[in-house]
Amino acid sequence: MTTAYTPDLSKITSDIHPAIGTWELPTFVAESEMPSREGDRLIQYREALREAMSEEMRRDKTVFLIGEEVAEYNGAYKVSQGMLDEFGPKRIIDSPISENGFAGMCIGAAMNGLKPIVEFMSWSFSLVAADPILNNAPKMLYMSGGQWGCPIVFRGNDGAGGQLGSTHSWCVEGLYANVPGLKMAIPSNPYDAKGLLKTAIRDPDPVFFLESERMLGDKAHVPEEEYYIPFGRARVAREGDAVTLVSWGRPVHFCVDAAERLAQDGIECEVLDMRTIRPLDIDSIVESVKKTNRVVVVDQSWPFGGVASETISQICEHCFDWLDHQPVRVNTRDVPTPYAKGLEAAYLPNADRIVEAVNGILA
Amino acid sequence: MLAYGIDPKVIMAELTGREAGISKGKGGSMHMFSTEHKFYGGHGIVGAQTPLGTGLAFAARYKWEVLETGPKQVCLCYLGDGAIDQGAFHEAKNLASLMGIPVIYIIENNGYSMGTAIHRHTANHDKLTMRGEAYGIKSIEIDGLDIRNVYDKMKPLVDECRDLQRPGFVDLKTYRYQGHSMSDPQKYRTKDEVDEFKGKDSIANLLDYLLKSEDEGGRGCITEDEWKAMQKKIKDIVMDAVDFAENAADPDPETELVTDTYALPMKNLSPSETYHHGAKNPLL
Repeated sequence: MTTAYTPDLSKITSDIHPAIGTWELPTFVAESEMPSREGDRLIQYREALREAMSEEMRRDKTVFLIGEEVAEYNGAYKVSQGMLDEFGPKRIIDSPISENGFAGMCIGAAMNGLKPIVEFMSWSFSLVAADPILNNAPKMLYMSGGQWGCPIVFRGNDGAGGQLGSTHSWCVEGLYANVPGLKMAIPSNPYDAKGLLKTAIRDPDPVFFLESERMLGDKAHVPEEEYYIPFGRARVAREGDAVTLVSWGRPVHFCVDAAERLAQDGIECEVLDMRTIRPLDIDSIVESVKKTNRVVVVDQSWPFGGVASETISQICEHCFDWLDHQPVRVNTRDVPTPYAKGLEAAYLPNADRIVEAVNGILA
Repeated sequence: MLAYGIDPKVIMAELTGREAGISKGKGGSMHMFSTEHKFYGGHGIVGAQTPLGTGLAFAARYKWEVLETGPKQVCLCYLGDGAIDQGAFHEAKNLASLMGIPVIYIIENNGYSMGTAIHRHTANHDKLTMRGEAYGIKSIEIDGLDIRNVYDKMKPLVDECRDLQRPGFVDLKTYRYQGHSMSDPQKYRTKDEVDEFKGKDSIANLLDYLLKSEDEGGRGCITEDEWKAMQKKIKDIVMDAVDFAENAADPDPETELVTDTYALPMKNLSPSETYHHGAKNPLL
């Protein structure tokens, strides 16, 4: 009888890291012990991302940032502004426009002990790097029988940036969340953006981190003190008992807007911001649905085979008996992203469509 | 992998999909790795290994230059002539040259991309080194059928690339006698062509050199009997590996199917099989 293959650990130097090495994880605390979300240290979403990267780069020299225009241009969207000055050109690296090449290169670097942060100017451009980011990063640990992992963060703008047309407005979560082996975070506000990105950089698995061009200028209080937000813990953005609105990323704001309008009619919606969709905090959804018995899932990617569909499947599997109405989803319309302002607005999920969905359920 | 000193048994066990295989039967013929031997794969998509190899070398340079924890190193990245037409390879070469990355791309040029002859898949196929030089990469051509020649030409290039922290490009001319895979009727080439290459077989040439006395222009360091014994020894090693693999257990779906998906597994990463109301999905 033979046993499973195990490498001789004594021959492996700790620098060729990943799965088999030691991994220093941050300490996570309960939601109630997290630093306050209220305060007057108002910074932009892009600054929160920058603080997360800079703090982790100060802590760990194996972390570096690469992407188009991240260094001398100071970031196409000014996320990495000033980082070149602090960390120098060996750690803040301008790449040529070759996503396939530099994404693949960073996966190799991750296999050899570094922790790359790869910035895609837009997740739309990640499609030309689909092979390395889907075929290599999430599968490396599995297909090497646990010998090599891939601690890497891919981050960038996801979703319609505003009149950029079909090829520049991708919401990749519907496509990419399908692949096992990766984790995916989609923060909706500066506080979460910082806490989740810091966690992503410390995580030993590949993390797909989806930001939004439309939120980079959003301001909110971000505490001075260091904090990490654990993956798989949803945030209750608003409490209510009539209908549960489940969302992630930018549409969370549409849900809150819709909830406030509905509240004027006496309909109190609960809004859940999932924060990560792999892992997906189904427990918090179930808890809320048990209270409201109705659920609307709002997803800014396409409806067919998307994250909303998956969320609703899981809701049906876990709390079908508590539902008083079939789960409803509000997605972008099932067409390529249009260019004209009015068409784009009609294409995206928005507060009107969410209000309509809620009223439809309660009618 | 054999050249890296990896045990033939665990390789054969992987080829046959056993738990004792080097990737526990989860990788297969195209996805084998060895942390012990710093063998980084084994990648199934033709050409996709070239950015990865560039990244391994990038990390090596980073450790030497930024972290100051390692010596100067070099990465050898192998690909076939079929892979040189992939866009990923061109992106990799551009990055390597731009950033000064010590990776040597070694084209095992056997003249065929599966069944498509090189003159039918690569423009300017008779001067592949141009494809390295175009990116400012030192590029050489090596006759791969002469083993001593391979060493003599490779050694200075490896030393130079490691020392200068620059990439290299090698058009290593070789041939393959067998088909591309088990299901290759080899209609794309003639038997005469195969026989012609068998006449210049690299192992036969080396043997000839080792057997011949120094007076005859050889080394005279082994005898016919020693050669026979060596062949028997190799056959035994191979048969042992086959026996090992055939007798090895299949991976257990209960344990091996779901492990190694995440280095840091967490709750709710995948749809769960047990529901809140106690039911269980029999299909998950």
